[in-house]
Amino acid sequence: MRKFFMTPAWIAMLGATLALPATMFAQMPAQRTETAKSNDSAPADLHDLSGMWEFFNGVPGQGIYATPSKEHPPMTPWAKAKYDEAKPGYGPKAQGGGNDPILKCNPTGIPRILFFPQPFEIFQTPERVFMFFERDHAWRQIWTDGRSHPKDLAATWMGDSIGKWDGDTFVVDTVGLNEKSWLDFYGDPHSEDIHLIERYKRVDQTSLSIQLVIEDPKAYTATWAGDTKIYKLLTGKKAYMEELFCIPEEEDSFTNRIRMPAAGQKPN
Amino acid sequence: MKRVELKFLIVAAALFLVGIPLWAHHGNASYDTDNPVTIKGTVTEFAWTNPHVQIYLDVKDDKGKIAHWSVETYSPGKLVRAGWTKDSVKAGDQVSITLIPAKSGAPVGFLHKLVLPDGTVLALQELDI
Repeated sequence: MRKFFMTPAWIAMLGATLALPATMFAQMPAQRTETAKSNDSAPADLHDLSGMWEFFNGVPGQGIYATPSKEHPPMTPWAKAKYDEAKPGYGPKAQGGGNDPILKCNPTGIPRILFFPQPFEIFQTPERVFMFFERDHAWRQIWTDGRSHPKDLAATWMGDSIGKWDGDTFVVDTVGLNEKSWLDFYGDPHSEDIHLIERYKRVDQTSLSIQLVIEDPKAYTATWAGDTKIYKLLTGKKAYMEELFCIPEEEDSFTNRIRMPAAGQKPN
Repeated sequence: MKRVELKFLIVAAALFLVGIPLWAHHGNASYDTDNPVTIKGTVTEFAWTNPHVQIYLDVKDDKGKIAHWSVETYSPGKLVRAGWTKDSVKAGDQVSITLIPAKSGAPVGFLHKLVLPDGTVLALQELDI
């Protein structure tokens, strides 16, 4: 049955069905119709990132390194101290239980939220690009109206983001991130001085690549250039996001009933 | 017996080829990703909650002794996209579950595949691509 949905006949049928509604969106060039999204062979509009994108997607190697890249630059003593305190469930110092901030329902923050199994949706308007995340029911805005970062920013979980196109790559520049969040699943820290660059590129109709570049001299002695992650477009019935709030009592229940026994620890 | 062993080897090989990289990430440090096991039992609770859906079941061994197993999987949203619903599993269902077990030895695991009494297979989206 699934294969049927990928056949030219199905795509043609879907195209015919959506042809009329599609004209309604003619004045909204930033938006795409489902017709185009579901046709792998059609050329992608490289300046259109809209759609629901998923990191855990079956691409070989995806989902293994939920960090900008396997190797990070040398840490400063400040960052090393924070890293030594971290007890992550994943990565080189993975352990059961642990003290990952998200276990207490702290927001995941940017950029870590990009590494979750849950998808996000990108929505473009002339002034802003929005990202809606299934995880935490969170969202962020990336200003594309030419503004600069505000002065005297108060640090937040999502920071302040501005974006612009560099050829076919959408470059997002973020500052103002608080240092409460881990950078990734491995417990790698960052400071409030972090300057994060995200490079988004529509590789083809159903693939989006993201590369992170991290400049944080308080935490790392060199620029951290991440490897390229591939996110796949969710289509059809899979283009759907659930509500996923972190609820403290549910998180605690899960910790007591699953996490702690699995780690060989007694429930609280 | 040899046929059973052969089946186990084939399943184990398939799991290794398809599933381990994902489990290695998500299963986290608590689980033994190299040694998946299959258990059969009666569901006592199906918790459709975040951050992870949970299935609790009673598994009887050869001597009639019952072990209470706790099994986690992904969040409801990921399961919906893989074809599950909140009613996919009910208390009282006789199910077969393939999971990676906790290294601690506790009867806890991370779900790979669930087979309902009518033979319906509920697997994870990533492994179904």
